[in-house]
Amino acid sequence: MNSASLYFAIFITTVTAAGSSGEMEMSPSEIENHRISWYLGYVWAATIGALLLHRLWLAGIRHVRTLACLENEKQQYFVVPGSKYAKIKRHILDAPLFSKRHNREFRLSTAVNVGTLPGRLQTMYLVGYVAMNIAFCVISIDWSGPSKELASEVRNRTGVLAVMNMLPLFLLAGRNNPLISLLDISFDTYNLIHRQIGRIVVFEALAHTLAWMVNTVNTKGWAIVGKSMASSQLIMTGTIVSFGTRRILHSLEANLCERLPALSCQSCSCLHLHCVMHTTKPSFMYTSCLQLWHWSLSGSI
Amino acid sequence: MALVTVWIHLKTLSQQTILVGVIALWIGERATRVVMILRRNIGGDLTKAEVEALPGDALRVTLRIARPWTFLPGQHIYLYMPSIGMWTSHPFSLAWSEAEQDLSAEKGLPMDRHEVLSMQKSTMSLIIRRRTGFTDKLWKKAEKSPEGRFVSSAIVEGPYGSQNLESYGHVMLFAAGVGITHAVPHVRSLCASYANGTSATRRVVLVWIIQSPEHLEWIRPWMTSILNMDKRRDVLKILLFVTRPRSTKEIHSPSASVQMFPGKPDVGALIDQEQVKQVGAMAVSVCGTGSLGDDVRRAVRERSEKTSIDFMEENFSW
Repeated sequence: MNSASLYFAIFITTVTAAGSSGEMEMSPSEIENHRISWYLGYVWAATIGALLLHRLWLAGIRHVRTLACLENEKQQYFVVPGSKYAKIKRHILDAPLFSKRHNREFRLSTAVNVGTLPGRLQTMYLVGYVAMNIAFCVISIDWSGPSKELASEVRNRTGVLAVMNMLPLFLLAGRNNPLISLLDISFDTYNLIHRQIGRIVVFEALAHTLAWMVNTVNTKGWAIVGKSMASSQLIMTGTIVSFGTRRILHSLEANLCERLPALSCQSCSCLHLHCVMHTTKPSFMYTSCLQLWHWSLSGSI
Repeated sequence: MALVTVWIHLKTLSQQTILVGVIALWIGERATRVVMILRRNIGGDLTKAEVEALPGDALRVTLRIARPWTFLPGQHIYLYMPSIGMWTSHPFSLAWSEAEQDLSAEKGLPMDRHEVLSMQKSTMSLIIRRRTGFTDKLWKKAEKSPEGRFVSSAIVEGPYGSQNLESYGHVMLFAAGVGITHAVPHVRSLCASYANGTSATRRVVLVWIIQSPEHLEWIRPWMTSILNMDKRRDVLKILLFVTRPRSTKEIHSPSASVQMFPGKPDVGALIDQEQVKQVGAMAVSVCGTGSLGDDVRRAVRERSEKTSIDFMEENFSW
């Protein structure tokens, strides 16, 4: 059951990460976006590959050790650790982030728990993943070009990355994630990565929205911003997702430190929706439908 | 909903194909759950759960699953009890399994070993600590029922995960409170494999930290059966730490291999004692509160360059 879902997940992820390419003429920046999508996919594949190798190596050692010790009462050979691997385990693999605290929760009171600190290796991976996303958002963009092109390139790039990151976001979200049994890594760890990728997707979507707004305001003015949100399907759906995902982030954040930026995003987006409603003066029915759609986004996960 | 909105947003763009993958992954995960549930819970009798209230604010839930699987240590399941928690699912470690004769089959007396085994249906058990929400409702219902127990229909989603410690010559299992549910199947399986000569394990040390001796009732029948196992004195040592004893009379060590102490253990000292006479590679596993986990983690890391020790933690955290 799990191997079938694994093959399915890998197949779907790679095929769709390629997007549709080759049929139409693409501008250089579109080609660049496609290439970066592939790079992201390669990074995922490399991570999975490395973890799989590690797991297979450990499984091999354990199997050999079991067989070698079946008739062995003292097993002295296996008492002595390999010193390099022991150091790696001590300082990286098993280590908490700082000196001790990992699973003891930070409690504001007996009832309020604001989360735990991730381990050292987990933190290194998460920081690396965030840094990689930031890097992918900024490389190969002509920062010295005219602001219209710059903003639209940033808008395209952040949009593409936000959607690409939704693949690992959904893959790592559930308890039937095939990577749990493949890599022998617990659901809790994947949940940690899932939450971090969630924050990344929300911020990339926010950057995407802002880049679009900067462009529209500069070229066509504020009135058009509101008008597009109300009438253009592309922009309306974009607005809803942008606000909705920020609400999801806010309502799910257990850790107080992460609540603050989410809260500020949330207040900005509420204020924004409010401004949009004012500039466009759409009908009451329309506004309420939009609001309902928006609220329902945060209720559905 | 968010997916639908993003789908529409990407109508004109090539990235919509990526969303096909996202949607497929989401559907795949939910579908796998449904398939697992249908496969395990439908067939012959539907899954039943017998819930029994235990002293010390805990419950023992014995599950009679429609199509049970091979029980392995380290497995956990998600339990649905529609009569109490409606559609919500709750994760619990599987603490024990018992093979029972399935007398409902109309095959007559078993003629050979294969038939005896195929007539056995296993029941699996959980220990649930009463907290808030679902566990509280469950406890209240059990307490109100006659003899403190009731039977209800249930749906079991699983099994998830399993762990094999048989490659380690020396195994230390730390457990706090209800964390014992993770340790008990390992103790049974390692003692059995020692007796059968199918593992490398030569020493098993179970350290259980409880608040009061009445918590011993949670696993008494299972412990009795483990203590009756063949050759277990050669391999098993149990250390019980009672952190809040009401009197010194409650603390008594039944034998040399099962000892009881008041107060909290010095985790580092316990590991040192075992490390001195370590046999083969050592596994130290901990299941319990976050702070016990952190203490054991630190103690193991400080000693991990002297002898080969692998650290494993089971936690309930996110």
